[in-house]
Amino acid sequence: MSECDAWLITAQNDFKFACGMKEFVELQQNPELTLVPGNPGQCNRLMNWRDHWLPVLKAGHLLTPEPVAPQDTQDMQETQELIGVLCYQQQPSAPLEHGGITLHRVPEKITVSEDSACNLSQELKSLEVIVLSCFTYQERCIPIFDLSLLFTLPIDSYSANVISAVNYSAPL
Amino acid sequence: MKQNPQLIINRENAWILIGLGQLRLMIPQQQVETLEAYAVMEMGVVKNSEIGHFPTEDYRAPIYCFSEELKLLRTTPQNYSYFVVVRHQQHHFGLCCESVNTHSAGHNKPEIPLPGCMLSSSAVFKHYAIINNQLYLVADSAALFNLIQTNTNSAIFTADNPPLQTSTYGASS
Repeated sequence: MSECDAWLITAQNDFKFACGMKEFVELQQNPELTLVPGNPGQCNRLMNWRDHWLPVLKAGHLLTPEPVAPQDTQDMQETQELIGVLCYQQQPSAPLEHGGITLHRVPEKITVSEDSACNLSQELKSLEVIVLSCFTYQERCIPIFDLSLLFTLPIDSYSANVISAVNYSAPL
Repeated sequence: MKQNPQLIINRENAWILIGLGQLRLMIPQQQVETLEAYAVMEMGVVKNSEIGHFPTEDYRAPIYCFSEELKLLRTTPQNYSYFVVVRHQQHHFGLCCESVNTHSAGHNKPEIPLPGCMLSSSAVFKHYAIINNQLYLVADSAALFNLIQTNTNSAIFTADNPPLQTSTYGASS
């Protein structure tokens, strides 16, 4: 029976997913973020990382139907944030690209066995387009994302729960 | 009159850079009608969340003030000293800002697409640019117009705010 190591990522709202050991590049604590207001609330910030501007995705809000008010600049300065930098390739021979994920805690190294593979749980069905596979860990279905799709597909192309930041600028 | 091709290229790739707190926007110069000091704005009776007007012989543009989170403000921050009048199709509207600058990109294309995960059908911004080591979000007049429409939830151009039939700044400079 084959096994492999993976990073178990815990994002906000106790949302968990796994990625390969080489896909997790770096942990950033409180990096400087630039708000892109008016874009989807799940991903409306950019992080300057090694002279590249990376999207910072709130994966924990991909499934959250209730709106979450976008963070304003003051919030961002006062909140301690952990950002994980992940890498991906759009094709096997393509150059590495990177994206950021907001984390609830430091990633945990786990071992995944082949026989823990499972079907996608009902609660994750809306993310099916970007899920490569999934496995059971501590009685939960943990998805493994195709990171190239996670970072390149518009959120409203697979999720009905897009947080529109503009809607929070309601008439005064 | 024979035109200098270099000037035409520069004008087509020229941008107006405006600052709203920590938010920096760049608007194609061709879509900007005029840049004005805040003091020339006509105050008085306002509606639909605008903070004033800029009247000319051809149009009367409502002026709006956004925060750096793109929330409409009823009062203008003290350090917002300017406004730009933007043209979208036959409509005109103004945006208050803290700073105004110009940028000529020459033959370069400064716009960089935002990553796909930052986009949606209703996303305001689709591109950004790095100018003098600072990040600017590319805001075209259509996106700004839609943003105002969404925020005010009403038509901003009415009978007493007629749209312009001719243009001046972008076309003749």
